Amino acid sequence: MEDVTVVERSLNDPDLFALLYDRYFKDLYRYLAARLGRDHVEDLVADAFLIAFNGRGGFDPERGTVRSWLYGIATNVVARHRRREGRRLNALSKVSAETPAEGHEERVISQLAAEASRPELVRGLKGLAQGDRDVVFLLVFGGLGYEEIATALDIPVGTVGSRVNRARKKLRKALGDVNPMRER
Amino acid sequence: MDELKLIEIVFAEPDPTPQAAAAGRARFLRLAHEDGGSSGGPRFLRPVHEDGSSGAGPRFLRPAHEGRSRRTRPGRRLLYGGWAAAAALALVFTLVIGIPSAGPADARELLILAANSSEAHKARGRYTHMEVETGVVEKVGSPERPYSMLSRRVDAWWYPTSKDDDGWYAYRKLGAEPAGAEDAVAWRAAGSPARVRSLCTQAAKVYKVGPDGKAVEQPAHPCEDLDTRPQERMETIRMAGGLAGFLTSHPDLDVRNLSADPARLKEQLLGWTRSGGLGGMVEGDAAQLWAAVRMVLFNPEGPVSPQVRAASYRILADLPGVRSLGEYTDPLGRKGQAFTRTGEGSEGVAGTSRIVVDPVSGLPLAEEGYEGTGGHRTSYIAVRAVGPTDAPPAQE
Repeated sequence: MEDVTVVERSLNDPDLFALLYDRYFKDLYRYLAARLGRDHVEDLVADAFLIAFNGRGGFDPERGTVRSWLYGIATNVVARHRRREGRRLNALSKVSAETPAEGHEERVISQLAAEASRPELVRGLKGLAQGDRDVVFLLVFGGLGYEEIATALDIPVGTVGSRVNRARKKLRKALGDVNPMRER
Repeated sequence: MDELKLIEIVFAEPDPTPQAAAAGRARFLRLAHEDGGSSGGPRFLRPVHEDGSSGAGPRFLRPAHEGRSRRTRPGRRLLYGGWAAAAALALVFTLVIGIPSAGPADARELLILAANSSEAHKARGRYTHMEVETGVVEKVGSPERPYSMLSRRVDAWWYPTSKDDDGWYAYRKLGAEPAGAEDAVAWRAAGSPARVRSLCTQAAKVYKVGPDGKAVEQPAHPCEDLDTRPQERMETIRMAGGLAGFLTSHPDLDVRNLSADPARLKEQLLGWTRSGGLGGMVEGDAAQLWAAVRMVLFNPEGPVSPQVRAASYRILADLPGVRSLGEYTDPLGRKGQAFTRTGEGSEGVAGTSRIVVDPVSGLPLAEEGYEGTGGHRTSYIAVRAVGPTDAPPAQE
């Protein structure tokens, strides 16, 4: 059953909505955990689904996919947990002496490189406007295209493009205009 | 490796454990079930946002630990500059037509006066601000020894006029207290507990009208613990990006698009209620309009202009069954004119509701819900401030 059909039928048969939960829980969990940390993030995912469930009568398939609708709601959840997002960014901006990454050699190198530039990267992210940060995370962790992001955030597609460009430029600047892979 | 890849590596968290997935699913199903799919009765009469953990709209989002408390509420700020000027204007008008001083005045006349007063408000600000106090009476204690507690909270919204500006939402729970003298005795006899559990058995059934037009019975709102201790400060949350960040529990009605023309507004509101907007089985145009206008005046969850409020008063003025109750003191101790409409059994409206309006300023003051006819008050929403303002909430 298509997502849209699930939403439509769930108006009569609310239990059907659980199908969407099962389809998208993992995706929204990853997105919200990346943004807010994983502590009890399943509760926030449940809250996002509840909002979707309660608003399902107003879902308009003409405007976009169920997936982008859900990511839009999850982004609103993030907006209401600014302090938590701030705490997460603060925590990640500090250099930690974590255990070295394990696994495939190439991945280890990537992780070491990322670890090395983490403070600058996080500082750069903290410096972004909330809307720019939303776009970046939807791109990276939602895997959404520009059109889907535009629907999720209810902004024009052109704005998504300009936010991505602006954010990447700022992040590169924060990273010292260096390519961490090449440097290290 | 580019910066996006870096973000992915740095921010990725391990996948959810099966336990987390199951816990999230259980929570969702429980809340969806308890919340009745936002189908409980006229939503604005339901206890709006007790625990912030269920339902649609920003208020249900559990911001309690995340929102930033930045100030205490600086008392009531009912009159803004624009309002005051318009109130003066309306006063002149009042003197001309006069309000009968003895006995309940004609409801129609008073509501048209309120409409004219409201229409005169022209001021525009950076935000459309609204602050309301909500009180809900709930049965608590044991089934053998029930008593009632009144729990109160304040919610405030700053809807930005510009879509590029950020808005604000703030709230503060004011705590629960015994609803009356006998309840106070019962509460003390129970050891004056700081937290009391509401009695779920007393919850009424609620209905939802499906797309086929049939009403389906739904479970009523869940049992909750009421806390007698007020939150120390307002929790203030920035809502980024115009109005986009504000969610609403009226998802199928955008109050920004409501017309200031009474005939058109009536069509819009009936269109909404007939498609199940009230979330309850309220039959008959008059009952639906009475309920919908109360939503516009007291719980719009969006910016409503004084002109739309004026049109709302005009709808009430011509609505069958609306009666004046004369001068009335609202839950915050302010004098206004009260109006009521008692729903008939066939309308699916349990109890009586009344609204309190200040016809001179045109401001909506409060709405109250009563158990049956002449029964106890079960809920109220009192408007502490409404109108344009340039000032965002004070920040730390």
